[in-house]
Parts: sequence; C-alpha cells; structure tokens
Amino acid sequence: MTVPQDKSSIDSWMLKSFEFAEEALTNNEVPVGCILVWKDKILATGRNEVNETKNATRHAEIVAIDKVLEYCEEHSEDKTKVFSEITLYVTVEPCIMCAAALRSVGVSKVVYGCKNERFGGCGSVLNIHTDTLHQLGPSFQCVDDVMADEAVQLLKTFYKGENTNAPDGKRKIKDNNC
Amino acid sequence: MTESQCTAVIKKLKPDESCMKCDSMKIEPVLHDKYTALVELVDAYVCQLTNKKRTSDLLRFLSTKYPLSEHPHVKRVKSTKSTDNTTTVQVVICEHSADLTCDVIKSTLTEFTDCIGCIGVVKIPSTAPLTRKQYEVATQYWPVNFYENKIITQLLTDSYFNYDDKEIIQQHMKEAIDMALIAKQKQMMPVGAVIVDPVTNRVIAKCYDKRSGTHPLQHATMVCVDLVAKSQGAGMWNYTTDDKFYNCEMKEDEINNDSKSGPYLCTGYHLYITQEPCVMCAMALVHSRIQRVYYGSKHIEGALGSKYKIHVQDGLNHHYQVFNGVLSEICDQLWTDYG
Repeated sequence: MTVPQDKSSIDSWMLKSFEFAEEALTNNEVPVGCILVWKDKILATGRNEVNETKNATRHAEIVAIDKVLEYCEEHSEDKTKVFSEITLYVTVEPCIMCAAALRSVGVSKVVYGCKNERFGGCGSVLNIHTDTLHQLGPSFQCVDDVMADEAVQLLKTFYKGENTNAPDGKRKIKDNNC
Repeated sequence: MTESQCTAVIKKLKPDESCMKCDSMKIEPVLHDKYTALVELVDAYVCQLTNKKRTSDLLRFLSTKYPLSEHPHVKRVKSTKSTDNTTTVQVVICEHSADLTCDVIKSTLTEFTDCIGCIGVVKIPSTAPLTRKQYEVATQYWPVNFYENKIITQLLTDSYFNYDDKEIIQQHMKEAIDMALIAKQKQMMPVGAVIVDPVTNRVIAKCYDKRSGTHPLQHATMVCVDLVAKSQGAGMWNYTTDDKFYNCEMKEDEINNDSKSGPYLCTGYHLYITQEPCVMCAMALVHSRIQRVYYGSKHIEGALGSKYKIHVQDGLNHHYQVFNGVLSEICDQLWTDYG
C-alpha cells in the first residue's frame, strides 16, 4: 500500500487522528494523536499518555505500536509484514525517539501535521527517518504539512496552560511558541 | 561467559590501591564536539603601532568604530619581542570582509596616521577556546582570553572521579552486567541496565534487553525507564517474575504527589548500561530527564558518542552527562558466543 495521493483521503484519516489528540488534551496530556492504517482500516490508535503513566516515552506513536503488537499476537499475524504495510497518520512530526521506534518496527509511510521544532526526528532537529542506520531498520518516507494549522492550534491551547505534573522547581509557564 | 567467569574477570581487572589510573578503571567522558574541535580561524585586519603612547587613544577609538562583538575573546593588542630585543606591537582593527578594503579602513583612521604602520591581514581564532589545549593552539595565532571551566578540565584530565567514586561506578556496572548475563541465559540480547539514585546509591530499577522477545521496542533502556515509572506507582508494560527484573517501590510519602516534591520521571538519576544506547533510547532518556549515563561497550549506531551525541544535541531542551568505557572489556565479552 502506498500513501494515498488524493488530499481528501489523507485529510480524512488525519481528521481521525485529531480525535485522539483532542482526547489527550482532555486528559491534560500534550495533544498529539495518531492512527495506524492497515488495509484501508484503522488497526490501532494512540495518544500521548506520559503524565498518566509517569513514563515520558508514552508518546502517541509508541502507544499505537504497542497495540499493533498485541493485535499481531492475538491474530497470529506476522508483525514485520503488518508494520511494513502500515501508514501512520500523526498530528505532529514524530520526535527523534518515535522516528527511531518507527524504523525499528519497520513502518515505512508516515503522514504528519505540523513540525516539531523542539524534538522532531523527521527533519526538524534530526533526520532519523532517512539517516543511514542499517541496524535500526528501514528508512521511511514522510508527507508533512497535513492540517498543520489545526495541530499547532491544539498545541497552543495546551501550552497556554502549563504542565501541572512537573514539580514546582521544574515547572515553567510556557509561552505560545510551540 | 558465565557469572563466575565474569566475577573472575572483574577480580583480575580489579586494580591494586596504588594503581588508581590503570586501564581497567577507565571512565571516559563523552563531550560535545566543541571541546575537541580544532581551533577555527578568521582573517582580520591588523596594523602595526609605531607610537605606543597612543595605544589607549587608538583602542578607545577602535572599540567604538570597530567593536569586536563577534569575537569578544580576542585581545586587541599583540606584542612580539624579536631576537634583537625590540618589541613589535600589532593591533586588531576588525574582521576582514570583502567590502571593507584597506583604503576604506585607512580613511577612517586619519587621526592616527602618525602612529600606525601599514595595514595587513592575519588569522585570529573565531571562537573562544573552551579547553586549555584549544587555548594553547589559539594563542599561537593571536592572544585570546580563556576562562577555564574547572569541571571540563577535570573531565579531560581524568581527575573528575576519585578512587571511591570509581569503585561505586564499577559496582553498579557490575549489577548491569549481571542483568546482561541473565538475558544471555534466556537467549536475549546480552544488554543489562540499572538506574540508580546517586544521592543515596539506591537502585531504583534494573532489567535487561527484551527486544528479541515479543516486543521490538523493549530495549534495556526503554524497559528501565518504565520500571522507574513503576517504582512511582505507574508504568505501562507488564512483566512476569520470570523476567527477574527489579524496581523499588516508593512509599506514598516518597512519591508525595500533593507537594510536588516527589520523584519526577528520571530526574537526578544515573543509568548504567552495558552497551551504548541507540537513538530511540538516547532520546527516551532526554524525555525522561536523566542526569547521567555510564555505558561499557560502544555500538556502531549508538547515539551517545558513536553515531550521534543526543545527550548534548543542540536544539534539545534537556542535556545529560555521558561516560563510556566502564568495565568495557567485560561488556565486550558479553557478546562472545551470542547469536
């Protein structure tokens, strides 16, 4: 499967990812959401759950990858094959950690909304998606700038507040520049 | 390698008290490239000062007309004594640029024509030296100011840790090696990890790499970070007693959610890991706010010195310290007969 070329199809999948970004926001998490599409169906969804789990690696993509692994286990599917046929739709550019995670499971197509200037691993801070890293896994292609304004708006809504889970000394009032 | 063989190797490697800096105790900092970079140079216009009495007038004029704001570390004046004991004084006017010719500069210095000689171009160091070695190279070209960072000097001269520190570090690495040996018995990748609170030396979590099991993301670091979350009453992945992982259990008053003074992610903690973390794990440690990482073996695609230096990556909002080479001979040996 290739990344759908027509804009309306990409937008409608991305719109679905926004539901999970909104859900993150409702739960006081950084509003990033994603879906993993396999054979034209949503195989797994994810949203940030860092604060609930006290585990800073629980980004939307990692949460969704966990669900795919569970699915493959339950349905005796070959996980390497499934991941290679998946397209990820995520509202914000995957961070350096998630870009590396996507390579290590072998996801080959990624569609994202806005850039992630702070942590981005698909062009903003580093190019983990295309760097030469044979042992990590195959490189992947990205389609960017899909509903980017909406993704930025959502992040701004979150960062207008502050991370109430950080201890006092570590807490910063965030500006709107996300 | 079995556990008893491992202990034997450690015993063999254990230095006697008089040999504090022998190879088996080596702990090497992995610093930002800027500390080992070659001194970069830029061209600058200089003139010879023929009348030293006018030095302060000229310097006052230059500081307004041609401030060296891009190169504040560069001293304006260079005095050179030649073999016949005469002193030559040269003064930096400004950085060389194509649209600023000697004639243009001369036309701005008319009030000093009586005291300056011809204008020439020399090389000056473009950035401030960060280490004594860089300082020594830089001053071969032109005098510069150097503010020595004592910690960087200690790190570069292997005097940051004392013998007792090194013993504690090796002890924790030994615990990580023990976890790697369990992994090896289970046909998993022989990589072990331990997270420690350095203030109390309390082990918070320890585990090994499980990526070759059912979960490709369960690298030792990722599991260890999750076990820290578990120690704080949360976490994500499920483990069985058969895994032989460990996490401490913080008491309610230690977690102390109300006052916000309790532990937050891996803030303040040190990770000991037998092999250099990959880029996913290195970035997981940025997100987790780890304070320091010690590792044994290097990895060709490692992200803490080999392929990347994620711990000091420009643009990221959290940096941490990294040391490698800790018991690296033993960590390397873990891989013999694997796979």
